[in-house]
This record gives sequence, structure tokens and C-alpha cells, in this order.
Amino acid sequence: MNKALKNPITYIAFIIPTLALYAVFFVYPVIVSFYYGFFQWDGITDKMFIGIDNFTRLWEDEVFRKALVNNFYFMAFSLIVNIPLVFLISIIISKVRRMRDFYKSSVFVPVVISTATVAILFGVLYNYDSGMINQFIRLVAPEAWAREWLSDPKLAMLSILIANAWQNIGFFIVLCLAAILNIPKEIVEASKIDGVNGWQETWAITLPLVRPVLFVMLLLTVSGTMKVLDIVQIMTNGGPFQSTEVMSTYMLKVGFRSMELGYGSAIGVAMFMIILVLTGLLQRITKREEVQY
Amino acid sequence: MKKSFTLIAALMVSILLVVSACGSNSSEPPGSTGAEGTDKPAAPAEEAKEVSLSLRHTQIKETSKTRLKILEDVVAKTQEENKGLTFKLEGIDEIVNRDQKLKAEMAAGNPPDIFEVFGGADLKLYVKAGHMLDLTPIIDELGIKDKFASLSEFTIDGKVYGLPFGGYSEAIFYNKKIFSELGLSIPATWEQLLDISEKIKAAGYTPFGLAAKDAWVNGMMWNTVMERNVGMDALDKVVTGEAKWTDENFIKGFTAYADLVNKDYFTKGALGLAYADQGAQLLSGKAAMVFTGSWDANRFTSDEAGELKGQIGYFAFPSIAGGAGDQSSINASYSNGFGFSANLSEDQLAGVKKFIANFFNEEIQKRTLVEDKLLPSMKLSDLSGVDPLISEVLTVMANASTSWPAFDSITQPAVTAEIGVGIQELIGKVSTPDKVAAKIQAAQETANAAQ
Amino acid sequence: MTARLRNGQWWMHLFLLGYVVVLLFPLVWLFLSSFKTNREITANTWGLPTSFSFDNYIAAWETANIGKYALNSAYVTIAACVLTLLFAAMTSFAISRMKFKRSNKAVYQFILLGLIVPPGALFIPLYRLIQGIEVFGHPLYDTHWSLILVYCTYALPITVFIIYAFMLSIPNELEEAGIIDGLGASGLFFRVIVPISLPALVTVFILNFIGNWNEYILSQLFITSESLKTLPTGMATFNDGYRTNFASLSAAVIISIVPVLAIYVFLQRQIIEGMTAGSVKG
Repeated sequence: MNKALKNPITYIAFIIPTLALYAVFFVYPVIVSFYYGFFQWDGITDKMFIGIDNFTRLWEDEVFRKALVNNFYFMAFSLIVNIPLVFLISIIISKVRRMRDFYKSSVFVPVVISTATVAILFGVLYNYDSGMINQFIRLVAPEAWAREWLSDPKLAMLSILIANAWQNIGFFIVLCLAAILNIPKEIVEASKIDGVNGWQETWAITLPLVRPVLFVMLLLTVSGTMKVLDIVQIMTNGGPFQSTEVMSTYMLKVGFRSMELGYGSAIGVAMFMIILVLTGLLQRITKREEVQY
Repeated sequence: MKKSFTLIAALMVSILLVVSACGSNSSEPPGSTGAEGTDKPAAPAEEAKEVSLSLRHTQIKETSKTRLKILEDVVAKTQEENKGLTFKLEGIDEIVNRDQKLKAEMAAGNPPDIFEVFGGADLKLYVKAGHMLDLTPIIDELGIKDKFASLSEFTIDGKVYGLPFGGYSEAIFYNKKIFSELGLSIPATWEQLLDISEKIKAAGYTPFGLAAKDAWVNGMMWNTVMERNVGMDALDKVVTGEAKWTDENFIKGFTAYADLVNKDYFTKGALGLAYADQGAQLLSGKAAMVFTGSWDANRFTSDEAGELKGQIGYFAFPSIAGGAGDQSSINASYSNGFGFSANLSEDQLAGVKKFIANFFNEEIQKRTLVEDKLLPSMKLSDLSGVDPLISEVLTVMANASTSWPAFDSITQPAVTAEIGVGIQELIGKVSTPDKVAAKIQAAQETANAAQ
Repeated sequence: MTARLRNGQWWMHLFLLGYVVVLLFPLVWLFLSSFKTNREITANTWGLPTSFSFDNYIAAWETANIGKYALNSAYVTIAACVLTLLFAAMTSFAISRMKFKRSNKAVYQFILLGLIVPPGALFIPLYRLIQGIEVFGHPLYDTHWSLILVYCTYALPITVFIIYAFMLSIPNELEEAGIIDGLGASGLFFRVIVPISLPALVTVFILNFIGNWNEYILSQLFITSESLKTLPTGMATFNDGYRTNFASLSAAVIISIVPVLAIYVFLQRQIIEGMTAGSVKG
């Protein structure tokens, strides 16, 4: 009966285009970049093979460690704040009966703007002197509550995270909402007959059924936050004094500005390994849970 | 039917890609990638030889329209005068070009024929890799060698590898209105500078507008304060190891800069602001002064200045009594220029000569000064019709005893990065001059050891 | 019961409206700024514009060459998105529905690697690769296809990842019904699986559309000819790091957002809603 789905020729034809593109534009440059990691090279003149020296240096590099911590901060914030918020908003949108279209469209608007524009917008909002946020604070609270959002090393990372959440939550909401609205009405209605009320329904039925989407969101969050670049680069470029440095910004600075392309590539390799381990762990954890159902 | 079509189409695409990519990979020993495009097989010699030159520029922003127009005019004129010669202009983003594109091309040995290049660290590497055309014979032949204000940033081991098309100096732009309102005069000494800053602060203005997000912006004023304290040759000495960042005079320099910070003379929240905001602070009337480069004169004389148009002036950084530097010197440099590829054919070389003759002359330099307000890199005999603020800039430069290039053209890139972090730490008041100096010295020693 | 529910809804609307205000506020400000002069923006940052003139829009359109760049962007973006969607859907179908267990897993994991790699590390190798590739004797460098193929490749991991998750959750009954009707693998793919997956397909299409529409660095690296450049090049015109022309920039940003929003609203109305309703019944 299932013969149609066992035809190897069709199978190969269906996966080959993806794999071919992948091999050429992705695997090849990755290998080249790994290869550079074993050299001392300014990117232009002759390179010198130095084995794993770049990697041992990485081990002792304080800035890299700080950048790694910042990446984890980024990830933790996104997991603890963004994702629950995504669920909350998606569920509420799925429950309201009026204006759902309006909410769905509004929520998505920030997603369509380029990160460069978001960074400029928030730069203006965060301005100490004329920024809307501080002006609002001054209106309702004493002047001393106004903050140097992007230039206070204690707040700069948080300020970036807020801007990032503002821009990115919308896409996850749309994704999550599609899954929630996709739950067959029969299941929902059956539970209503059983006397389950609105919020019990959410816990008992909606959340378990959107678990695949949850996995998608978790994995995208983990990989996305560990390799985050644009928004940090444009908002603070790692500053003030490297307090918001993340691995990607550090990699680009080392590789291109300090002209140590070899060491920069080694940072890239390290990033790859770290994310690989994290996503591997994530897959393991979610798989164990799936067994139950 | 449909099925087999999808199948075949999919296979075609993938095979095509794999084959073409393999082809390119196997034929890619370093240095051979790029030749296409520039060195088309030499056309049979006929009356008007077809010669093509690629020209990479970075004047793609709205603010550089004037400069691009001047370049295009020169190119058009050169093509007009030389039948068969065509220039292919390519404008791309400055940072993408500097960090990735030009670098990758230099590594592969196929830079564009003519391209914008900065003097200093970048140029040194390109020359070392052997991809920069030695211009010494060309400028000798054209007789323009002595016409340039300075070729030092493009000269390596006595040979010239690039020609600057403009220059800059760095000093203080100030709001004349605020100065007259508060009855202030231009400070000549460090003490006077502190004094007027205190008065400006007391009157509710920011003494120095600052946008400290990008390290190079902070580096400007720090550099001049440092020079006043240590003298420019001290910087050369730290690179050779003869001097240390932790020496007494250097510490004095760091401390002097930290003084300005600790007295709250800079914009609050500066570390989060991008460079463009610094000029805006002066033009909005919030800041009385900004320390920056003469390139901002263009902005300060534009409509954006509003009622402050004509009310912005320029003065040299004051002297610091007891400092080891040249107290009336100025940071001025001619590091924006054009470089040329070393692998040009005879005909292309002839075209390049024509381009240089048409671009680097008094007429174009004067036009750039008047229209684009870029400081000329060549000596001009006629300075009429120049904007008053530009005149002030030129006067300040003329009055300077000596000029010196910015520190980052001397220190190694890794040290430059460390200095950037250190100054930000001072601005953020999270470190002390001693600690900052020690950290920079540590980076300096690592960099010196690697040489 | 209905009365209770309706009563219970006001706070949900309040919450959502509050969220929407926070979301849209910066954009409303951007929109208002697009009618101000630079002087007004500097001096009176948060006020209303003194007059609603379209000067900024005209300036943005002319200076940044938006008309031509937008056409290029539309071509590159749509071609890359369609290609991505086709390849990703085919691959996802094969590895989620076809019975090659071991290979499915391997292919899936291999593609997931793409989510892990930091793109910044690849600029230089990728640029040199593109410079080297020739298709039928024509260099790929400085063509729209260089962008289309690379955009497509870099969108594939996330696209496959999302579509795969979606296709996995499709009940087997639907497929079996198709097989009984005599459909082969391609038939199942085009007639059964793709229509059901449309909500997911549309969602990733939009995601990729936005990514490609706004991409700047690769387009600077691969495209040299003025006539082939894409929209972000035009945007960058107003922001040179030394001086930001906020007035024109905000107008340009508004111009660049409108088509994307229009596509989103259209697709959401026509397809996501319609299909979710349909698929549940089927």
C-alpha cells in the first residue's frame, strides 16, 4: 500500500536540489572557514600554519568568555521572557472573537522592518536626553530615575534584548497562533462537553498540542541567540567597553578589524561547536518528553 | 508526466550546480581566481585600442553625491580625451569594501584596477602582498610629486603607493552664539579650556558634545590630549618597545583626559550614541563645542544648522604647559586616497596615468574644496570663494607648527582596539588611568612580540 | 454562558491593545517623522510635523533610486523565496513522509547544521566562491542569480525545519486516502500535502521574504553593476555613519515596509485563514 512512499528515485529527486545547493554554498565555505582557523593569517599575506594555537588562545581569552556569557544572557532572556510572552499573547489572540485580524496584523508589523532600522529607532528612543523613554520617566518619576540605557554597562545588554524582543516576538506569535488555530475544532468541542472551561482547556489541550511548535521556537531561539549579530552590532557594536560583546561581534572585530582572520575563524568554529552541543542537548530533552505521548 | 518533469528539472539544477562548483574549486589555486573581467585577452592592436579600467569607489551615500559627481566628471573627461578607454565605476559600501570585499580580492590577488584605499595599516598589508602599483615613476613623470601637501601616509620604504584626494585636521568646532552669550573667548591654554568648560556647564549647556559608541570618535580628542603630553615620536617608540604606555607622560595624558570626563564636561549617556548624534548636539544648540575632524564642516555649513548657520567656528586645541609634545601642532592627515592594482597591462597603465593627471590637479582640488568642502591634498595658490568656516579651518591648519597623523596609523590594530576599549572605560568611569594604561601596555607587548 | 465569556473578554482586549500600542508607537513616530524636516526632527523630536508635505518621499524616491532598486529587490526576493519554498517543501515531504528512516534522519540532521553556523564567518570564503563560479561560461558574480542561489541556500535550514515539523503533524489518514485514490509520491505531494501545509508554507515564505528584502552585506559583495543593486543599498544612502538624514530615511523605510505589509495582510486573509478552516474539515 505504501509503495508510493518507498520509491528511492523520487526520494532522491526530492532531496537532491536542497543538498546540492547546500553542498556548494554552505558546506564548502564552512570547510574553508574551518581550515583558516588553523592558521595565523591577516587575511592577505601568506598564512602560517599554527595547528591548534588559535584554539588554545581562545581558551584563555577573557573577552571571548565575556562574549559567551553575554550570549547565554541573551538566550536565557529569550527563553524566560520572550517565549512565555509569545504563548500568552497567542492564546489570548486565539480566544478573542473580535478584531483578531487587527491584532494578528499589528503584532507582525515590527517583524517586517530591517534590523538596521530597528536599531536606529531604538537608539532614538533610548537617548538619555531626548529619548521618549527617559522623557516619560521624568514625567512620572524623579529625574534620578532616568537611565543611560545604551551606555550604562549594566543596562546596555537589557536594552538590546528589549529591542530584539520588540522586533522578533511577532514572528513567533504568528507561528504559534497558526498551530493553535490549527487544532481541530472537534477536540476543543469534545472537551467543552466534558465541562472543561476556557483556561483549563488551554492547559489541558492547547499547550500539549502545540508542542511541536514549541520545539521549533526553542531551537530557533537557542541557535538564533547564540549567533546573534546584527542588532548588537548596530546598537552598541559590543560597547560600552565590550560589555555587550557577543561572539559574533567579537569574531568580526578580530577577523576584519584587528586583521587576525585565522583567529576570527577559530572563534567561528568555537561558536559552531557550542551551538551544536546546545541544540543536541535540546533535541535530546524534547525527545525524551515525546515518548510519553 | 508531471512527475518525471519535476524529477528531471530537479536533477538538472543540482547537477549543474555541482559541476560548475567543482569546476571552480579545482581551478582555484590562490591568486588565479579573479583575472576575469579585468584582463580580457588582449584585443588585436588596431587604431583605437579598447582599454577598460575598473574603478571602485565608496561614494554611495547621499552626503557624498558631490564627491561622486566630481569623480564622474573626471572620468567622463578622461574617456572623452582618450578614445577606446572606458572606466567601469562601481560604488559599494565603505565598510563592506574595507572589511571584506577588498580584503578578499587582495588575498586572491585580483583587486579592482583603481580603488579607494586608506593609508596606514591596510595599505601596509596590501603592499606586503605585492598588489599595489608603485606610483613613484608616474608622479615623477607628471611632475606632481611636490604638489601634494603630504604623501607620508602612502609612502612605504620611499615608494608611493597611493595618492590622497583630500585631507582633514582635527580640532574644536564651537557655537559662537553661546560663546558670546557667556562672554567667553577662545582658550589658548589647558587651564583656560577647563575654565570656559566650567562656565558653559554652569550655564546649562554641555561643554563638549560627544557620541562615544564608536571607539574612533573618542580616540580623536584623546589623541590630541595625549600628543600634547608625550609628543608624537613617543608613539613610535611604544611600537618599537622603547617607551611604555605606563610611562609618566602617558599617564599624565590619560589623567588629563579623565579629568575632562570626571568634571562631567561630556554629554551624558554618550557611550550609547552614534557619531551622527555628536554633530546634532552642536547644531541643536545643546553642546557648545565638539572635538572632531574638519569633514564635519560640510554638515555645519548646511541647512541642518538652521539659525546657527554661520555661527559655528573652529579653533586649535589649546596648549598644555609642561607637556612634552609640540604645543601648537595639529592632527592633520591625508589618508583618503586612490590606490592602483599592480597587475595592469601596458595600455591600462597608460590609462591610469591619464586619470591621475586629470584627477590630481589644482582645478579639481579647488572644486572639491568649494563644492564638497573637503580639504585639498594638494597645495592651492588660489583660495577665493571658500566658505568662511572652511577658511577658519585652513587658517588653523596654516598656523599649526607641525602636523601628525592619527595614532591608529601607528599602533597595531589589536592595540588600537584595546585603546578604544580603555578610553570607553574612562568615559564610563569604570577604570582609572593607571589601569587603562597597564592594559594597553599588555596588548602592546603582545603585538610587538608578534612582529 | 455566552454572557460570561463576553464579560471575560474585555481584559483580553485591554491587554492586547496595550501591547499593540507599545509595538506600534515607534512606528507611528517614524511615520510622523517622515513628514518632518531634519531640523524639526533635531529640535522637536517627539512633536507633530508642522505640515504634511511629501517632500521627504519625493527626495527619498529620487535620491535613493528606490523605483529601480525596488524592482530588482522584488525579483531577487520573490525568485529566491519561491525556489526556497519549492526545494524545502520537497525535501521536507521526502524526509517526513517517505519511508527511508535512516536516511531521513541523516538528511534532517545535516540540514539542521545550517541553523548553527554563524554567517559572519562565511563572507570571505563565500565571496571568493561566487567569484569563481561559472555557469555555461557566464560568471555568476554580479548577477541576480548569485544572490538568489545564496539567499535560497541560507533560507533552506529554517524553512525545512519549520515545514518538516508541520508535515510531521499531518495525520496519516489524509495520505492514505490519497494513496487509495491512486496518487504517486508527486501526486501526494502536490495534491495533498502542499495544500494542507499552506499555512506553514506561507509563514516561512513571509519570513524569508523579509530576510531577503532587507539583506545588505551579501548584495554589496556580489553585485557591482549599478543597474542590478537592491533596495537596502538605497536605504543605506541616507545613513552614512557620519550623518543620518533622518527625514529621508524614515520616508524610505515607510516606502520599503509597505509592500511587505501588504503581502502579509493579503496572504494572511486569503490563505492562512481560508486554509486552516479547510484543512480541519478535510
